[in-house]
Amino acid sequence: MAADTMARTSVLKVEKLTKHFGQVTALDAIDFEVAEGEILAVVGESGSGKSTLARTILRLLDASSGRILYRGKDLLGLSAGGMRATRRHIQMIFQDPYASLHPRRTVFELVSEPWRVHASVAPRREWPHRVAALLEQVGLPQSYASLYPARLSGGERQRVAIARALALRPDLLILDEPVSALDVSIQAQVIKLLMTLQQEIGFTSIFISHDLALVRLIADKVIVMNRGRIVEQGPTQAIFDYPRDDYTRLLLASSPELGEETTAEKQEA
Amino acid sequence: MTTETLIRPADETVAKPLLSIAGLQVRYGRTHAVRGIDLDIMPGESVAILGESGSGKSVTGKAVMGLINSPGKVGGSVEFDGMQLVGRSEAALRAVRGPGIAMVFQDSLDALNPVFSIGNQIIEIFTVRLGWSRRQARDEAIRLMLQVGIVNPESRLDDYPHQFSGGMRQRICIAMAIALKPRLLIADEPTTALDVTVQAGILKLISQLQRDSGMALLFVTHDLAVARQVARKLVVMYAGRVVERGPINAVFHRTAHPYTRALLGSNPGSVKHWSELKPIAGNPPDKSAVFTGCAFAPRCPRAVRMCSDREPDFVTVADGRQSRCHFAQEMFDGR
Repeated sequence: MAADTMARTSVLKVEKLTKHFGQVTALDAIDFEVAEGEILAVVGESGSGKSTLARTILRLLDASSGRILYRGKDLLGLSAGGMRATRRHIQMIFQDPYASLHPRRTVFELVSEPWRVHASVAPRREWPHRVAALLEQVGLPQSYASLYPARLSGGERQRVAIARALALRPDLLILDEPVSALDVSIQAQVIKLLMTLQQEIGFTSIFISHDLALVRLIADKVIVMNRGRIVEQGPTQAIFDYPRDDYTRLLLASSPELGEETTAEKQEA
Repeated sequence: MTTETLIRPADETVAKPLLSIAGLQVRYGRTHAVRGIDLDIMPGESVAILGESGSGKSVTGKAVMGLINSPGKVGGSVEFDGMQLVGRSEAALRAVRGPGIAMVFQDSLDALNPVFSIGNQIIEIFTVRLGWSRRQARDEAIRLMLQVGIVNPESRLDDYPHQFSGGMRQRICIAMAIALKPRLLIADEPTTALDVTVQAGILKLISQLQRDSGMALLFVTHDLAVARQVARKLVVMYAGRVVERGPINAVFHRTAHPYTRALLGSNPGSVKHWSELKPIAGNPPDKSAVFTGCAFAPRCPRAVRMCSDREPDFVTVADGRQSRCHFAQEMFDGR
């Protein structure tokens, strides 16, 4: 965990980020910072703005105001071309591995696709062995390169999505509920894979999730969002052990996994 | 567990199961969704069926309710209060649904009719099924809505489903399910689509209704922690079969099947750090797969040759505790 007090380089700094959809304020003056190698979790319920936040950072949605500083450079000030070049360093993994992979592309085509867009990263002759290396990294057999997504299970598809995101060796990975569409037994596989890769490669990540029990296991820092606002943020342990905001407390108390331990303890006492 | 073993009903007739499932099978062509299930539910008992996607847990609930449509084929026996439900006519089943067995589904928006007001949908239950006057039915609808936690029910009777939040809609579905005072409520992942703060309220409501009315509950879920909040008994399903069953807290503290143990080990709530997670290797089997031995054997850390050759029978490891594993007793004894 990145609990050391040493000042680290800021990878992403978001300042007063605001997003309106008509009358609705989806993001209300969001401020936070992620340092190099950190895992920042964004937790909240549906409508909290957590997914809008991810999409606004990547400029898949237009921000209404504020600044998004990626290594000191404001993403909102970039031209379309400049943003495309920057996206090489910021990759996203989505919740639904059934929707995020093109059904008519083989695994090889899906994983090598980023190199078509960012041609300077890998010359074409290197693609076969690079794809092979990525498949191995995410724990898929080499024979999968020629398969179409329909042949793969949900967990395997998410591994393909991870391989594709890693193809560009991203600096920052934004994961939007990457395991919530998967079964519990498969969730644990994918989380272990992501965390092992994070340790090996050292990318910085923003992990968006509604699953508090999971966040507690993996995040260095947590942001709690409710109705477009950050109600509380801090180191993971502090948020879980000493929540200060009423909404954070409600969220923790409602989580069956976290609540269950306390009931079990009470019964044993 | 202690109360269950100590307090035995004196009257023989009371001890008969309300629902008795024996050798239940559900097939869709070559797809085998349920591969032979035996399960008894006593009056007033709360049972959770736990399983991952494709385990057959939801299909089991629907089969009990008589909701398997063609080309689905149901085999085996489902007896409710002594009456065989498999093979019954739709008219006979309709008489059981409501006062006998009622069901709440995952998606409340699908379960309600979007073009009728909530009031009309609840009132209709009493006017059509019980022949009540509209006035009497309206009063009962208001009482029910209040019972499931809807504030100012009178002013909301004329609202349509889309005007309610997901949690409130699910409360309305619960109100409609309990309207005719069913003796068994089947709840199929009723909180999976809801936020956790809303889920907490719905689980509390279901538990409270079950306790107060004495109806039996069959709660279908993929979530161990949720199962534990509403049920006293647990049934774990894998690949269309029941693999372990027993009192829920007892199973949690001392599993007797490798699959249940693996599920606990891959549950983030059970560990302190991600590195302690113990995922289950591989994927669940295809529903069209044919097994000679135990369906879990290919993923089981304990499996030996015999496991893929011969399907294990249920082994009773303790009072009320059964596991379908060749090593059930060893697992239970911690060997």
